[in-house]
Amino acid sequence: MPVSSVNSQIIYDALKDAGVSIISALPETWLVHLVGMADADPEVTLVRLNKEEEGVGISAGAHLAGRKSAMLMQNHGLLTSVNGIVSLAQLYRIPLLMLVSYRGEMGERDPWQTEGGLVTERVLDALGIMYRKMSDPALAARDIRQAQTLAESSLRPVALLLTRELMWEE
Amino acid sequence: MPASRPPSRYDSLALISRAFPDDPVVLTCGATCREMAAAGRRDNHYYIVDTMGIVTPVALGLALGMAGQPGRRVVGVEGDGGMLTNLNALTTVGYLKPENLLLVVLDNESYASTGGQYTFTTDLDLADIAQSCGLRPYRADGLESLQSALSEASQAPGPSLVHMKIAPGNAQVPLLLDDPVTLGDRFHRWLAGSMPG
Repeated sequence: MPVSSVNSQIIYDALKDAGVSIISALPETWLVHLVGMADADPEVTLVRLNKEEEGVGISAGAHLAGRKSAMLMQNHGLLTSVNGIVSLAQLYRIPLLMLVSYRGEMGERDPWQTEGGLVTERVLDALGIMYRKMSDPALAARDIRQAQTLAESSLRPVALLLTRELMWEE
Repeated sequence: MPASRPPSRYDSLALISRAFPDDPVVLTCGATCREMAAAGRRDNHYYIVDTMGIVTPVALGLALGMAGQPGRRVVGVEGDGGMLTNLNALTTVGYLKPENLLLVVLDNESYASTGGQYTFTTDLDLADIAQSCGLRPYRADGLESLQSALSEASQAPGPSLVHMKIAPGNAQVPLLLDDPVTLGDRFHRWLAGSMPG
C-alpha cells in the first residue's frame, strides 16, 4: 500500500509533540499508518469511531476535561461531521484540531472521491473554518503546531488538509 | 410494584441532579435542558442546547479526560430520540469501555420537544441494545428504582446505562435562552476547579 509511512510518522510525532493524548479516527486508507501508530501507543487513547461526527463530541469532552485531542478523518467524514461542528463546536466555542485526508483532488483516480474533493475547501470556507493544505513533510510539524495554537486561541475548529503529495507514494 | 404511571421528566431530572452534585452531568437538547435548568441550575451541568445525539460522545470524551479520578463519574442524560439518532455512539462506548461513564436514558417513546411524534422505542428496548453493545444495563420503572439504579450503577464499574420510561409531555418551564458560550464556560470553569492537583 503506497501510503507514506515516513510522512505518517512525521505527522504522528508532531501530534505527540503538540501534547495530543486523545485521537479519534474512523478507518481510511490514507490514515492507516497514523491510526496504527495511535493504536500501538500506550500514551495515547485511540477512540475508534463509527461515524466521524462522534469525534466532535469526544474532542469537546476532552477539551472540557483539559486534555488535548485530534480528529483524523477523510474529507467525506468532515462532511458527515458538519452538524456537530456547527451546533456544538462553533456554538460553544470549542477548539478542534482536524486532520483531514484530502481525497478527490488533483491526481485522484477513484471516481467516488471526486465530488467530495470538489466541495471540501468551499465547505470549510462556508463554515468559517481556517485551514491549510499540508504537502511538505519538512513543514508538517510547524503546520500542526500552528493549527493547534490557532484552534486554542480562537476556540474554534481548525483543519489541516492532508494532500496526496504528503500521504501517497507513487 | 411498578409505578402505575411513569414519572415525569422533570421529577426524574431533579432526582438525577440530587444524585450527582459533584460530577459532570451532560444534558441533551430541548426539553431536557430547559427542565433541568428550571429544576435548579448547577455549574456541574453541561447544557447541550442543540446537536441531537451528541451527549454520548461528549460524555465519553469527558470520561476519557477524567479517567483515573477515583470515585468520580461522568453522567450523560439522553432521550430516546437522541439515542436513536446516534445509536452508533453506544457501540463506540461499548468497545472502549470507560469505567467512569454512566448514561441515563429517559425514554418517553416520543420526540417530545418537537410535538410528540412517536419514536421506535415503542418496539425497541434501549437497555437490551446497550447490553448488546457492551454496557451494563439497569432498568428503572419509577423514581425509587431510578434512585437505586443510579446508586448501584455508580458503585459498579461502567460503562453503564440506566433506562427508564417516563411520561410523555413537557413541563411548562421557560426556554433556556442563555448564550451557549456562557453556559459552557460556567461548566468548564467548574470542572477545572474540581480536578485533582
